[in-house]
Amino acid sequence: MLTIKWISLILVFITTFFIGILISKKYKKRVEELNEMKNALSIFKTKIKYTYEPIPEIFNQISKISTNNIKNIFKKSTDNMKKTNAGTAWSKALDESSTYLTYEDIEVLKGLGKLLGKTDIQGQISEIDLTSNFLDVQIAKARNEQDKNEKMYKTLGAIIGLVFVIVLI
Amino acid sequence: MDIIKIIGIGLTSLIIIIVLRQYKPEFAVYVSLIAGALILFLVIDKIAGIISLLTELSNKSNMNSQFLVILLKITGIAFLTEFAVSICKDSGESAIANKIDLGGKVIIIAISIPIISALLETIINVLPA
Amino acid sequence: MDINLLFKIAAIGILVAVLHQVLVRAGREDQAMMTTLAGLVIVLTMVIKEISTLFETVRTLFNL
Repeated sequence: MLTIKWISLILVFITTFFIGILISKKYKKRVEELNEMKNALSIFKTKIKYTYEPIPEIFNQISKISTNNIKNIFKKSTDNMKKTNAGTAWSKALDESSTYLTYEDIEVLKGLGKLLGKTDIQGQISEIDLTSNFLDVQIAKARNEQDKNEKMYKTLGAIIGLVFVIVLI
Repeated sequence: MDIIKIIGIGLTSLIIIIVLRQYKPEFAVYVSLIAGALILFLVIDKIAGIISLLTELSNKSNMNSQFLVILLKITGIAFLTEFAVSICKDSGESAIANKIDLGGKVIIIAISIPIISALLETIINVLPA
Repeated sequence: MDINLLFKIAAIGILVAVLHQVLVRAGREDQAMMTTLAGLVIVLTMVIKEISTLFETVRTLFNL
């Protein structure tokens, strides 16, 4: 009986500890994804500028070099582009894929889709620049939040677990 | 070896209170409360022995057992009021401590009225009319 | 009723203090306050039980 009690107490502690880590990871992942998105956009920009490949082709290539969630976004929008125009495909892909990005980030990225494939190359490049500037702001914000919250949630998880255990002993 | 237990509890709680007071003074009060209760619990067994001895003696000497009961009650009230008063004083609330003290005293006097009246009766009986 | 309760209260007190610090550092003063309050209530429920047993024992002993 006593061993069961101890094992369950340890399980409670581990659970809260990992919940804390999970929540804190969200902030780290957001910064990572935003950075990756920015890199992807700069690749997109250079490709548009120099290679004149069609957008689905470029997106396909980007999805090959990106990782995880960002990869999914580009892949989905490539798939969607077979059915609709580039702008709706892009925003649909953003809506559908599950990421650590916040609603605000998604809205900033969706701004890119409005002009995608509608203007000439110069217009698109300036649009990409604009989005990437917005992304810089979002990255700074996300960094700030990461500094503030990441450590807090980790400690919070561990300490709340400890409090539970001590109260239940 | 109960005295060692009591001293141990006292010193341990002292250190805990000193550490806690820096961070959260509210919890220090709880620790001192529990420490006081613990020590009282340790002592209470001995008191039970003393009380049984006293009742036995009073039975043997054919004393009025009513007085002994009152005496015990007064001791109990003094015990509890002292407990509460010292905790209030520790937390820096001497005003409340004084009120509890006053309440304890008044109740003790109220309880001991039979003894006082018996005493007065005896004196009147002894005095020449 | 034993000395473990003392250590338990001390541990909860220290942990609540750490929680308070962490939350204040993260700029969440109101939540820090709430955790302190919750800790106090938890400890109070533990303490009240012991105090009531103490009073009950004294009452039966001195037949008050």
